[in-house]
Amino acid sequence: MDFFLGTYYPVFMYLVVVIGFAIAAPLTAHLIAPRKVTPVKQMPYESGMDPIGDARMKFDVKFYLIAILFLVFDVELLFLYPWAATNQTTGSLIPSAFKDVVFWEIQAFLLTVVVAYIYAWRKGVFKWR
Amino acid sequence: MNFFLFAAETNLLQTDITLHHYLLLGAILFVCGIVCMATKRNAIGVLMGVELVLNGATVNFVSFAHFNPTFDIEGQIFALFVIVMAAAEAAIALAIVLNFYNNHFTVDVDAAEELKG
Amino acid sequence: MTLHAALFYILATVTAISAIGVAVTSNIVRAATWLLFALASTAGIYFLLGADFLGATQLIVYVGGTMILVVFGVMLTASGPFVNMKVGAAEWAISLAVGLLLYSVLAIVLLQIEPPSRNIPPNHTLLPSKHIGAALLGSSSSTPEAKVTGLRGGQFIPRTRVSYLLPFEIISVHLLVVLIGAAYLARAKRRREDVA
Repeated sequence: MDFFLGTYYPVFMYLVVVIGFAIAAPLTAHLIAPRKVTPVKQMPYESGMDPIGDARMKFDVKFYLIAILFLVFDVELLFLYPWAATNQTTGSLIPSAFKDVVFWEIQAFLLTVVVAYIYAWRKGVFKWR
Repeated sequence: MNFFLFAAETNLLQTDITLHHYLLLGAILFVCGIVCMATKRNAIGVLMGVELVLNGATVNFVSFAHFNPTFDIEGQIFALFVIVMAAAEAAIALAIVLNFYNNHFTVDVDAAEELKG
Repeated sequence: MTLHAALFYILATVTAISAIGVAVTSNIVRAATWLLFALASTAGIYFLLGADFLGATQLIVYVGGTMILVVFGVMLTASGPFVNMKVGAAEWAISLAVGLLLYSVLAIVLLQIEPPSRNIPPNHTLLPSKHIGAALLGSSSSTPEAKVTGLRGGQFIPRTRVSYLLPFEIISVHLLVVLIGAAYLARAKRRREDVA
């Protein structure tokens, strides 16, 4: 099987444009923009309000729980993709007699995560307090 | 010194990209991870070292899968498992670090010495 | 130099510099940023090796998931304005020496590995995710029928066809345990209020 870097040319072009823009935009602003420094402009900006507290405050642990939930279901989804790819109609690698078995395998795979989901739900992980 | 002799012998820069190039890259990741684990006092820094080590291993798996088509599937699936295990390990390890922080107000690994005899 | 080689050297340089940055920097937030770049360029290496699915996995799970967790961990445990982890000069010298020694040992061993006998073109791509899915779901016919090569003296061993259904289901149970365990640990009674 051959691999063509040409498949990735749009990605390369996208990357070049994005990185080029990220460098060029601040650079041009730095080079050609007129600069008049006033005390008001030097203030830290927080959505138009006066900034409250320190930027390096400690986060609440509930954000961390959300991140764990995200990661677990992220990995779950990742394993569903190869299964979906095997189900393509042309050149399927799974023999048709095997299709029901595969279906129940996936059900078992999902069931354990549903168990975890229900446990987390009952334990109040989703409650925002 | 020996390494430079080897590098000169195999002439890494002149040839096409071979298995050795990728393995050397994996070794760099591995060694950086080991050094990171050994020098950092911060528990999260140690965890980052572990991530680097696992990445080095994954690079090796994928490069062997690429250069030895017999292990095409094996290399990819093992690398997949390594990535997933790394994610799970990070979640649990950070939960432990958070607990540790709640009890000790620090993430310095040297502070964990209650079990010392 | 071919395009493939040029891309390899660019990606390898970014990966190596970022990995060294993780080990060298004494600021934990900077270490996290270096790690982010190291992981992202490793994903580029996987794409270069023709492992599309793994590259995407690396970006989705590692860069998008695990790094988020690590950054959250940094933010949750930020005890001062600057979380610093300065290391003494003597310790630096020792770790540098040990690191270089370890790397040279690894390099010497690695360079003695005989590359596989067959000639692999640099643009060879790995089997697509369809085959990975079939192997994970227990179809052993997805793995290529071949002989184990790369042994010394050009020996061959017929390989056994294997599938990975059991690890696949174990992953699922593992995720269950991770979710329950992490939720339990992170929600465990916080002694902070009692002490402070």
